[in-house]
Amino acid sequence: MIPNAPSLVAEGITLSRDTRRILDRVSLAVTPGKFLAVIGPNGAGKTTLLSVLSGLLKADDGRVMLNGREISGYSPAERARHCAVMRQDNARPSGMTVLEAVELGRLAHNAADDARPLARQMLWQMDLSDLADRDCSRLSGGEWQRVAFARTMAQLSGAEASGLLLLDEPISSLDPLHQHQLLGEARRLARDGHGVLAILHDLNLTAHYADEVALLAAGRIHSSGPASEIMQPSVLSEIYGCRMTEIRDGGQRALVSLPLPSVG
Amino acid sequence: MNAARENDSRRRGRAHGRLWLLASLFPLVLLAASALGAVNIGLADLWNLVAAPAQVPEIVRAVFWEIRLPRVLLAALVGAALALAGAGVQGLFRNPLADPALIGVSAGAALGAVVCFFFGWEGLLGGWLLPLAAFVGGWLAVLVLGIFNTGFAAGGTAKLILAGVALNAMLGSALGFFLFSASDDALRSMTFWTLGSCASAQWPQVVVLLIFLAIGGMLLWRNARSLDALQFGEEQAAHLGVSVVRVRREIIVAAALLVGAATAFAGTIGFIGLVAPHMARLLLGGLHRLVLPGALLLGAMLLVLADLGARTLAAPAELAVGILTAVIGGPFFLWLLRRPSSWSA
Repeated sequence: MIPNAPSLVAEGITLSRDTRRILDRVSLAVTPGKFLAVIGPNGAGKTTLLSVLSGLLKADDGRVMLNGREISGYSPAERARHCAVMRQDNARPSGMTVLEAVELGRLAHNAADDARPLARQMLWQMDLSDLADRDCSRLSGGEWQRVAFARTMAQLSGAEASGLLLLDEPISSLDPLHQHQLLGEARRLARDGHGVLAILHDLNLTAHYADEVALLAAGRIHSSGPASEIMQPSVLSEIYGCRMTEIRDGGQRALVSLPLPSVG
Repeated sequence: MNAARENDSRRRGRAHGRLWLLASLFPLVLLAASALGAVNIGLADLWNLVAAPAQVPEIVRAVFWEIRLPRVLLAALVGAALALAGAGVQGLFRNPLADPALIGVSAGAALGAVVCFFFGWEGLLGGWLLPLAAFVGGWLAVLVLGIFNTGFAAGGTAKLILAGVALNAMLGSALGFFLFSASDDALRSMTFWTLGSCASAQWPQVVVLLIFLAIGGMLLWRNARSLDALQFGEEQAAHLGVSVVRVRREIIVAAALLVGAATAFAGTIGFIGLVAPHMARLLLGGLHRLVLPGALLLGAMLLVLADLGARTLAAPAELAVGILTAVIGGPFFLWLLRRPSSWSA
């Protein structure tokens, strides 16, 4: 394979439910080594797009190529060895410890013996070692989200060719410290040569961690490119319908949203 | 927080020990049930039956080998099959109230049997037409349900549960029609059958059921890790590499084989399929490599004990075993629920 060829390519993805068009000719590519953020208002089609990209949902038109092969040609187990996905709607099992949940990340990998040490390592990396023996049903929402991410990292470890990581709002329940920790890990995985795509709502963190941004609005790619180009207050204000402004602190810049000034 | 941590890990450590404890209790329960009955067999005779048959009275030998042992083994196999099916179906549907009856197999089997009684066919084919009709009835119901085993977008498992509820209601109507129109004699046979009994146990039935238990059990065992992953939700399980539609099909086929065969020989027996898997989860945690063997052992022991009650409590008359399963299992289950160190169900 050509180095730095995109590991995931979507071309002209179109999907309709009844008469409503949910995705309209969406094209994007995830490149190994890069962190791509997909942002956009509620109902823009982000989660549906993730289902199509991960091969769970078939588009009406267009195609998805994973490492040079159409994704529908993969068996679920084979797909799981190339592409790790963390969904937003992760049910929390009971009667299963955190360590056992993370070990299930290795389900599709043949050598099961490495599952336990690998799971322990991922928990340690996510600062979760203290919770290893806790029952999943007794975690807080934020703790469970970090456990799900640790499981996704365990799944990605040793992926064939360059792995692909798809994350759907992975930080929605996390406190600021752990938001930075999780996105930092995701970016590190990109630097290690994996392709990372994350659906995010926090524009400030997106500007900080993403290399590339695709802005999805009403089922279409409004714009996409390097984060520094897309994350402009003027563009974002228009798409989200609220006021975006930029503040600077030392050498770092941050995006802040403010309500529209009331009229009259 | 530290105490809680220790609790969870210690519980997991103890789970394997508890499974071994159940496994060693099992032969004791079998032995006790084989000794007790209309003719009580002492421990010495029990030993001699194997070691020195000539020293045991002829009548005791006949009772043990031809009546007692096949009946105890049939009860164990029926209980094991129902509990295994329940563990699989509950894991698949992620619903604590899911019963193997939910997939329509028990109602279909009951309809097959009731049709047999209605036309007075239960004695045909040397008595084998009745279990055959029950098994076929159960399978037809499951085949109808199989139409609804589609992908995620169509509503997946939720749709399957709703289809099962509707199917059960329709089969219940048909069952009601036959019960309503039956003669008094046929009605009595039907009622006794629908309350369950292991009284018709013979060696050929034990062998047939053992084969079904082996096939169904292996189908469930090879999907044990997939069932664990399904607890995260079907979509997330698919991302982890589970072929969700295939796993659903295999679990339902396994449950249909297990419940169909058990019901064919022992009638409809409730409670065990619903509660034995929960007992296993409370004792052993939620991983299916522990839950499946645990449910198998608990279901087998529960039904052996219930059947022991059925044939001794009102002797020489015989109670329907379905009446006793909840009487024996219910208090134990409630006690487990109350224990603070149980896993959450």
